[in-house]
Amino acid sequence: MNIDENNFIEQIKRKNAKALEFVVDNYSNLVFKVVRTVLNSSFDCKYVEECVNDVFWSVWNNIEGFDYEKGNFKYWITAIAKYKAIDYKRKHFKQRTDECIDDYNLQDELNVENTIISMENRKELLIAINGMKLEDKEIFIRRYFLYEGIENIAKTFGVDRNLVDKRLSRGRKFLKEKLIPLKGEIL
Amino acid sequence: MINKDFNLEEKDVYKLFNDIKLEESEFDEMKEEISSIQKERIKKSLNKKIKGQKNFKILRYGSIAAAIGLVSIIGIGTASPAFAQNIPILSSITQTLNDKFGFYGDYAEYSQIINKGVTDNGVTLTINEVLADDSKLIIGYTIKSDKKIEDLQVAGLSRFLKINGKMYGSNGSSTGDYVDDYTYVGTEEIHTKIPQSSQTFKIDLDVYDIGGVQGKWNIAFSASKDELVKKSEIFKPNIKIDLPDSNATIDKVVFSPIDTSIFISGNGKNANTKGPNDMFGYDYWIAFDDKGVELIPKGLGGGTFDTNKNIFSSEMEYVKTKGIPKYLTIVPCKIIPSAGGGVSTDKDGKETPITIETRKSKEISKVIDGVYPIELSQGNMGKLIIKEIKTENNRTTVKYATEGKAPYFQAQDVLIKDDQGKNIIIKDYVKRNDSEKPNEFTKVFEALDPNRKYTIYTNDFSNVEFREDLKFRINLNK
Repeated sequence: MNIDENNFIEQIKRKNAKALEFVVDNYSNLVFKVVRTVLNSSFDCKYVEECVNDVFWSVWNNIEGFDYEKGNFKYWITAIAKYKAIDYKRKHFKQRTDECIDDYNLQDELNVENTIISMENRKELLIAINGMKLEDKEIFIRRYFLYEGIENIAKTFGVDRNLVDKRLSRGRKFLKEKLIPLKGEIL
Repeated sequence: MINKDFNLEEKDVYKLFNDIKLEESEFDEMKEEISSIQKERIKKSLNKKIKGQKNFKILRYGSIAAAIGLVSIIGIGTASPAFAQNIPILSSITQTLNDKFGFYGDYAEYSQIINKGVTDNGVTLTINEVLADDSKLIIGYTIKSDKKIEDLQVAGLSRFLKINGKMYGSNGSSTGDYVDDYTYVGTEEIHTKIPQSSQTFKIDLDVYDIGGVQGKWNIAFSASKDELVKKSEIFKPNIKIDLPDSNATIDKVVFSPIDTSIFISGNGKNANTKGPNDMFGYDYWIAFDDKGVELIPKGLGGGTFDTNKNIFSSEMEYVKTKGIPKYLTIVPCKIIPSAGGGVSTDKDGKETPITIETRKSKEISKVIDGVYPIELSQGNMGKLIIKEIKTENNRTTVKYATEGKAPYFQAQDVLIKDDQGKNIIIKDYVKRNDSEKPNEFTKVFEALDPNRKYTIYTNDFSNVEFREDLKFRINLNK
C-alpha cells in the first residue's frame, strides 16, 4: 500500500510501520531543527539523534492524541519535538555541571499558583484548559508546557509582554475558578 | 518538570498541542539537510522498537496469569525469595523450575549440559543447560552476584541472543527463583524458528545488561535439537476453525518428551485491527484429551501478530501428555484480565506502558474454620471443594477438588489471605498429584499461623468467556 500525505495518520493508527517511515522521511529535517535549537551545541550529536528518535516514537504511540479536525500535523510534531527536547535537556542536564544555569531558565513564578492547580483530577484539568479562550490557551501552553519565555511569546503574537503577562494571569485565574470548587469536592 | 504540577499525563499534553501553531521559522536554521543514511538509521531503530512492542503478548500473559492465579509468576519470585530454598542447583534448573510450577516433562533427560560462565563487574552469568526442538530453545542459567540484583525474573536473555549469527523475532517465557540474595536460577523458553538446515546450531549470547548492571558477558555455545525432535510425534491435521474474530488453521500438533504444542496460523476478520486482541482474541484454548482430562496449560496464545497484513501465527503450549490421545477437544476462550497492562520492553531496554481492557471478576471467599469440606462457587464455571488444609513442616498444604467445565483452569485460582487482607505466599503451585484423579489437586502455601484467622478464596470467572459453542475436535491420526 502506498503511504502518502492523505493516509499516513490513519495508517499510523493502524500501526503500519511504513507510515512511521513516511513521517521520518518527510519530517526529519524539521524535527532535527527543533531538537538542535533546544539542545544547542553543548549537546552531543548522539543525544540529538536519540532525542529525534524519541520524538518519532512518541508520535507512533500517541497518534490518538492528534486531532484531525483542528490540528495540523506539522505544528503538532513541532510541539512534540520541542517538548521532548526540553525534557531531554532537563534529564541530561542533571548529569552535567558545566552548563551555565542562566541557559536553563525554566523555573518561573508559577509556584504559588501551581499548588492550587496541582490537583488530582487530570481529566477535569484538561477540560478546564480546553475551556480557555483560544489565544489564551495557546499562550498558556507555550508558557507552561513548552517553557517559552514571555518575551518570545510576545514576539510570536506581535504583542506587548505586559499583555502576555495579563493573559497568563487571566488563564491562571480562569483555572483557579474552575478548579477550586472541584478541589473542594475532593477535600 | 513544571507541567508535572499540572498532573497531566504526557498523552494529555500531546492533545493540548493541537491548539498551538509553532512555526518552523521560530527555530534556528540548519546548515545542511539530514542525510538519508541518518534517516535510515532512525527508521531501523524505530522498526526495532516496533518489533519489540509486538512481544507484548507474553507480557499480557503475565497479567492473565495474574487474573487467574491472582499472583503472576513474575511477582512470586520477587515477593518471596524464601521459597526457593528447596531448589537444589545440582539437578537440572529447567527441570526443577518446571516441576515447581507443575509443568511435568522430561526436561533433565533431554538437557544438554553447557556450564559455561563469564564474570564481569561482580556478576557471573553461567549457562547451565540447553534444550531445543524445531520451534524453541530452552536455556537454564544461573546468575551470581556480589550484591543482590532485584527483579531478575523480568530481565530475560532473549534480547541478547543470536542463533547462527542472526538476531530473530521471538516470543517466549521465563521464570526463575532466587536461591539466596546473591544467586538466581532461571529458565527461559524462546519460541522461534530454529534453523532447519542442520541438527546443530550455534548460539551467541552477547549480554551487556543484567538487571541494570552493565558489563560484558559473552558466551557462545552450540545446541542440538536432534534428540527431542526424534522423540517427538508430529501431526498435521490442517483443520480450519471459524472464530468470531478470526479464521484459524491448525497447522501442527507436536507431542514431545517435554511438552505438547498446537501451532496455529490465521487471519483476523476485522479490517481495523490494532493489536493481537482484535485479531485473535479467543487465544486461550482449554484442551481436553480423549478421556476428557484437561491438559495443563504452559503458555497459551503467544506468537507473532502482523497488524498490517492482519495475519498471525500462534502457539498453545501444554504440559506433556501421558501417551498420545486419539483426539483433543478444544474450547476457545477469551480472558479479559482483571489487572491491567504491563510494559513492553524494546531492544534497547526502554519500557513503554501498555494499557489493556480489564474486567474484574468477583471474589468468592470463605473463612477457614477447620470444618471441611468448604465449598466455593465459581460462577458458571463450577465449584471448588476444599477437602483439607494441613500445616506441617513449616508449610500449609491445601487439598481440593474442582467440579465444572474446566477443572484444571478452575483449580489454578485458589488463594489464602490473612485477616489483614494480605495474600499468603505460595510455595508450590497447583499440582495434579494422581493422574487417575485428574480433578484433585494440591497447592502449598507458607505455613499458616494457627492463632490467626484466614480466608480462602477464588473468583466467579466473570471475566472469562468460555465458549462451548465454539468447541471443536482435533483428530490425531497419521
